[in-house]
Amino acid sequence: MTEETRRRRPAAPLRAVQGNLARSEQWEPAEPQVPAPRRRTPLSLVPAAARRRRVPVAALCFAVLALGLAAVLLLNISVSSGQYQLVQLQNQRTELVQKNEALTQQVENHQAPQVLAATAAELGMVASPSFGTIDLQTLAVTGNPEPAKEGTKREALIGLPQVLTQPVTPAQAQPAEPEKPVENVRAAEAQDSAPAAADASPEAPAPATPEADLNGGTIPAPSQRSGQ
Amino acid sequence: MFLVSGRLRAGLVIALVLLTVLGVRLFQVQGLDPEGKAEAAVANRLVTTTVPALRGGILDANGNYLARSVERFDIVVDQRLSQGKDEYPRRTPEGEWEDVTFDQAFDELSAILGQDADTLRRSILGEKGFNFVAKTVTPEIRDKVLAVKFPGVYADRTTLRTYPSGAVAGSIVGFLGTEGAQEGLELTQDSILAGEAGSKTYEIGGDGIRIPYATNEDVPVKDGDSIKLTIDQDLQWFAQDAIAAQTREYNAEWGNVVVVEVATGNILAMAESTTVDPNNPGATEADSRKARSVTDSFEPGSTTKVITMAAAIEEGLITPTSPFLINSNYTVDGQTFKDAYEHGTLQMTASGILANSLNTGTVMVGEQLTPQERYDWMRKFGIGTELGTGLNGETSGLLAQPEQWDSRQQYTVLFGQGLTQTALHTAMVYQTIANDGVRLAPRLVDSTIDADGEEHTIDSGEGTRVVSKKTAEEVQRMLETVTVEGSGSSGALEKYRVGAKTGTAEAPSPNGGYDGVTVSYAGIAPMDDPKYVAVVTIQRPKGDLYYVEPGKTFQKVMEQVLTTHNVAPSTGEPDIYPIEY
Repeated sequence: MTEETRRRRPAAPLRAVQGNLARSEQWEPAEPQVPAPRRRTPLSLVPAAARRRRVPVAALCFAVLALGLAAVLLLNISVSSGQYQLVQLQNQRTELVQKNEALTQQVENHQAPQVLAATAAELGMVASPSFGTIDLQTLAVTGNPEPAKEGTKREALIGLPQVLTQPVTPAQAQPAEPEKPVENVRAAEAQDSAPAAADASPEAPAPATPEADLNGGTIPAPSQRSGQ
Repeated sequence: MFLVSGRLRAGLVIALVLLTVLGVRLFQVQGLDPEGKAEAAVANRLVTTTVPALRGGILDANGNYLARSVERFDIVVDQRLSQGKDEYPRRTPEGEWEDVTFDQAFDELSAILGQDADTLRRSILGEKGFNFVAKTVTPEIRDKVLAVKFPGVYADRTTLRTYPSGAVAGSIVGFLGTEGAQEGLELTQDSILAGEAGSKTYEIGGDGIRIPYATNEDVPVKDGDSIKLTIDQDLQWFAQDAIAAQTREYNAEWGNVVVVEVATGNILAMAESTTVDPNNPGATEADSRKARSVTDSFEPGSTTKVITMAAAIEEGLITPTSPFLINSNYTVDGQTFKDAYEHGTLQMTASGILANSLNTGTVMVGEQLTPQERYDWMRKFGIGTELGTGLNGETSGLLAQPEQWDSRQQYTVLFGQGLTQTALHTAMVYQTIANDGVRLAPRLVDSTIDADGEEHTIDSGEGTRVVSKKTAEEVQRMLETVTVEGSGSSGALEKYRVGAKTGTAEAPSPNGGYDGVTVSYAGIAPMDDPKYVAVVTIQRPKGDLYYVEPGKTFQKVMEQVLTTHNVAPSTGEPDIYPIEY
């Protein structure tokens, strides 16, 4: 304890009293008869109880703040990148839906009965003149089905579906450009099935490939929809 | 306040006064807003766009789409964005910038759109804020057009109604015009197909960009429901092809085939000789765009004799083998009736009268019914009543009240002259006989399908019993007799038993009197367990009637129907009555 006091107050003189401890020391009283004046215990700084090493509060607050900011930043980054992914996937989805739509229309066209019949006729198929029956329970064949013979092509009386696949030129107020019945011409042409999503227009001089425009980056822009 | 010095105090007072003035003014402008400026400002920013509903589709019995809306785009241009320039920058696929001249752009666009560059120049360059460049463009073409990146050219989403099967079932499905649905089920079922448009309300700034976190109201769009028909697309095509061929062969005005399923009343095919392709309705003449099977009524002729026979048997007046002595002419009530061909005196049973389609014999049978009874039996079999298929232009035909019948008409109705009905009416009469006497309502629309896929079958109710089962079975045997021994043999099938009746009626001319004939053939198959009814009608065929055989079309169509549905061939011999005694 003496060393501590020395450390703390090196300039302080030795006193008769150290803290709340009275030193029992031999000393010559200046006036043996006069009782010593009652002195108040002088106030002095009491060293506090031993403290463990801890990070100061301020540093802790800073750390919490920094962590909070980092968390918010990370959250924002992940949301933003998720948003980019979302846009990319939505674009992909739109593209796939449109491709699916185009193919579905092609399939529907092929499935139309008159188109099927025309395709069959081109392959040389004829309607069967006779039929037989198989009883599925007894596996007995009744009737006398004959193999079909080659026949002449019958004229198709029901026209091919004239689904509109070519762009329609709007009627202009200026010197008349008549609306091109391009689709009728297509239907009236050879009996091969008209592709529903026709890309018959010649490619040259086509512009750059209609890929998503990346503008020098890697992520395509979200497609704007009118009214959004 | 009292502690501060004089000048500071004065300054504070002035500041407070000013603040108060500001506060009051603020409250006036923002809170009270006597001139409605805030509202006017919001009204300036507010934009409401409608979101169109997707129209429901029309499907056939097997789920194939007969009508469907698909996505298309209109290429539009804001001409103001390209004013005063003649080239614009664009990125190449490698990422470099290049300058593209308008001429080059027009060349590219004309190759994509199939228009010439001058037309494009006229539609793209100018001063308007909005102009069409091309309409109903597929998504692929839209992508290519947008890749040209012409300033001001953009795409508006729209829909196109497509009819993938074209003219097959075209008269039933109908079509749309510029103002909406025009004909057919598209018109009559429009309230189901159309759905409800939604709307989006939001605010946009002066530069046209949407303001986030402002008004955002969204009325959800309700897509239309789809309807599923009882029509089988492939059978419909087959029937259309067959009747078109025969109508052309006979150079007739029109022809049709109606195929009805006996047990349910479902219309499997309703084919016309000339059918509109809904993708291009203008290519067909205006009066051939509807389904004549329900819109055109005609005097049916001898196919009505089956009603006379059924009524007489049910009333207990005759049996299928009752004997009748028949001369070439028969006079009753001062009216003389003769048969289609000369014959001496014949000893025919009632079945024989039906088999040879003798008018004289029919009048002899039918005169035993009172006129009111004749009328009531016709009505019970559905003549003169509404069909209820849901097609526009449907007619119930014309069956006058018995009080209005003149002295000849009261007998001619017994053999189908002096009244009118449609081909579908005829089909339902034979459906009643085939269904053991229970008449069902004809069903064209089978069910509606919600936008989320849930199907709701439409209930057509129970049938009405017209004649007893016993009577119906006897009449079925009589009809089989017609096929085996009588005029129905032209439609007899090799592997199936058929019961049928032919009809050759005088066709009333629009100028009064009669002009030409209406030939028909109504048949039921297979007679061991009747499943399907097919009625072929041909209006005003030209040439010798001897060679006009609607039964041939019946053969083709009925065989196709039976083999498609895997109906087992009839075993056993036809069950018939004697025609002479």
